Amino acid sequence: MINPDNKAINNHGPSSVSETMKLVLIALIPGIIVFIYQNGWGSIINLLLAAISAIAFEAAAQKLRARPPLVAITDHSALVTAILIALCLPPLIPWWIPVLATGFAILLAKHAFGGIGNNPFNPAMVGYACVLISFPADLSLWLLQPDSFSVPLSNAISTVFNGGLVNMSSISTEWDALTGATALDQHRTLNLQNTNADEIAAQTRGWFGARQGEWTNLAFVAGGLWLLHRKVISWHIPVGFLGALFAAMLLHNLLHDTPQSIPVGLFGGATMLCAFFISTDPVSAAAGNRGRIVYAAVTGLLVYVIRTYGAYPDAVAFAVLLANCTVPAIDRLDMYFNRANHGDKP
Amino acid sequence: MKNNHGIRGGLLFEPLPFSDIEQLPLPAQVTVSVAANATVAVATGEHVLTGQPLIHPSDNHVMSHASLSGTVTATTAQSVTIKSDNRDKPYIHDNKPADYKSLFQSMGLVGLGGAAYPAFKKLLQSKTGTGVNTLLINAAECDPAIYCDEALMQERAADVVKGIQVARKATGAANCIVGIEKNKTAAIEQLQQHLPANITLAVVPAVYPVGAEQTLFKQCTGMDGSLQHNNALCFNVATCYSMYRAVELSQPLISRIVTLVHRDRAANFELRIGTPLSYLETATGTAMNSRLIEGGRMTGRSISKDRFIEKHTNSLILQPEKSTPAKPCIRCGACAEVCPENLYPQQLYWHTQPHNTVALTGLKLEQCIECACCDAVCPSHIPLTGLFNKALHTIKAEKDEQVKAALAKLRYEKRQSRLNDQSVRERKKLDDKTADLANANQTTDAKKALIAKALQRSKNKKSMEAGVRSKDPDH
Repeated sequence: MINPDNKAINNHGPSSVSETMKLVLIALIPGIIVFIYQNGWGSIINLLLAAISAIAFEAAAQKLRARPPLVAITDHSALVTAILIALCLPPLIPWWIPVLATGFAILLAKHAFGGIGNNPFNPAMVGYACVLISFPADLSLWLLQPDSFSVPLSNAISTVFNGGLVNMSSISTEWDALTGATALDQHRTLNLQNTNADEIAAQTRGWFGARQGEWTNLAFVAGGLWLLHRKVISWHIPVGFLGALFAAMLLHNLLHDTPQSIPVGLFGGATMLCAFFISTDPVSAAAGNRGRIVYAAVTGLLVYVIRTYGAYPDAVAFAVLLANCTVPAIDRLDMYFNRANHGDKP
Repeated sequence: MKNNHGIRGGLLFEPLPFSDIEQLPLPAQVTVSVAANATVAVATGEHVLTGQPLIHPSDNHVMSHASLSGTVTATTAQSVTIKSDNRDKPYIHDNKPADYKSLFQSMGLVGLGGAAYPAFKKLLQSKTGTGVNTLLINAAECDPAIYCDEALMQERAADVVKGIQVARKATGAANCIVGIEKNKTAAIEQLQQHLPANITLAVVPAVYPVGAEQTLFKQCTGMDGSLQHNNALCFNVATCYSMYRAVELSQPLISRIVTLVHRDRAANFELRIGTPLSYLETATGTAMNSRLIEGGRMTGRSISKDRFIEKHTNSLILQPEKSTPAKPCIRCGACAEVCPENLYPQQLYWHTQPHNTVALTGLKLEQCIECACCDAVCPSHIPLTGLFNKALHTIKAEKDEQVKAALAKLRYEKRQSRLNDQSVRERKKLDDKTADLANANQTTDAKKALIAKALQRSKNKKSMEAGVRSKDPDH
């Protein structure tokens, strides 16, 4: 374009990639605050470790690829990846898990494929999935709420730098009282034990959604709606994702004797984070709006399938990565139908 | 996405305040561009009058005229420079050609919307096939930095309408539609006063790029497909005005209205073709120390200020140098939202890196009207339209190459089959002979007959030779 200053009055989208990322970071703030409130010092340590290592990895990778290291940092995309990873990790895990996760994300998922704009998979989810598979014991230990901040900072730091909660609880039993399963985890266990629906609801539901999850999820919805308002994301992916997940759970409840709790499903774990911040990553999503609805619906269905039949209680990372695999096919089909729409035989 | 203006995609711009058409004093000298393949008909030192023909144009190009009276100071294959004598004495065009085509060519009429396509060539197009059904007059100037047509319609609506009628007569079109943007209220009012009942005024939404020929056609008629496919022709409204001047006043195209945009204000000037841009600088008091862009905000190109006003110069923008380096595409899809042709610019971009003809054709790159809406909204500042233009040229070159290769192949195959036929014929002749012989060898009767025939032949020969010898006086 000849004149970047000449803004069209019906174009309210972000004017640069760095502005896009900045707006995403701002939209994450309410979620981050609630997440920290619920998970204590450990989550702050995770966020800091992930952020610092992401910027270091990004700069190193840029330098290795003979690109200016500072440009990549000023576009904030590494920071967004780091924060998305940290928001998936439980507090009080060994310090190297967040570092390793961001390493996988930035070096393997992003720069090995050619840097920003070229990654076929969502970098944050690659990083999280790698550590989830590698260290399942560490990543399933969450603190019981609302006792999170009862662990003092000095204690939290020493835990993080001494092998995390898994190691500490093997030494002494004082931690056992503080840890607990997440709502989705518990929901899954109880469901497998064929516990009746009321009992499940009583144990897993909080005020209106999933215990330990509804407030963070609600904060992510707030941030996501603001992103929609600022035209950073469009409605297609959140609606496709939540719609497909909701429909799948509704169908499940109609066909099965052991119903799933829809509030827990929609407001538990990383569901809303996925709907507004993870699967909306444009690089690894489908290209057109029509394709994006299909892509988001695939993600939603996969979340339902993995949660119901798989071994992982929160399926967002794997669902997003598997849906990323379908993107080339979706784009291809979209092109096929687009051509058909233009009136000539494909 | 169809936005609330009933047009797919596009961009909305706040129009700039613009001035009435101003006349500047004549420049001291002009440099008139000369069409390619033309021979210059005037010599250095010769005195020319305003509107005097300067060249012998080729069949595909229009005439160039002296845009003021004075002395020719320099001629090259590309231009003629004339020093003004400040009298501006007009050249009298007698023996005007009778038909519109030759008239438009000899009067130097080209499309004034920016493309400068010779007007007479559009008439030639219209004569192929079934003739012109619809004549579309483009009055929807949609670029946020061009106001020359709007000013023209506001101030000279009566003559513009006369020009539209000339265009209609020249094309012989059954229907005539004038497409104008909704926000040009004063111009609409003026046109409504002067337009006869048989010319429709279609008011279209003020969304860029509604003024693109194809988009305007669809908006005004609701018909899909190209103009040519629908037997339609499109002329810019300023082109029609120049037709009126050529046909009714016998004035060739020697001046045009140019919008000069500086610091969010637009001024319109009626300038002689060939006016140096540096003259504009002194005459208007606008210092041209920043970058100069010709052809509009969206699709314009950067030009040097030692150039001249050409027939296609509709707008000049002065603006500070600013460059934003392109970043990688993040597939955000903002470009697809604003594309008026419903294309996927991000996918197209992907397939230009590296160039992939099959994918680009599959994604309908040839439908791109190069409006640059995608460039304007790209958060990574990728020069998409430029890349698409390049890709289109590559595809065209490939096609040409293919056609050439196919022709060569055809030629080779024809030659091969010709040679083949020849050898087959020769072989057949030989085979026939051998077959005759073989047949003859098989039957003894035939053999005897053959021998007898041969004997008879030699006998005859001998007797003939004897006869000749007996007549020879020496023996």
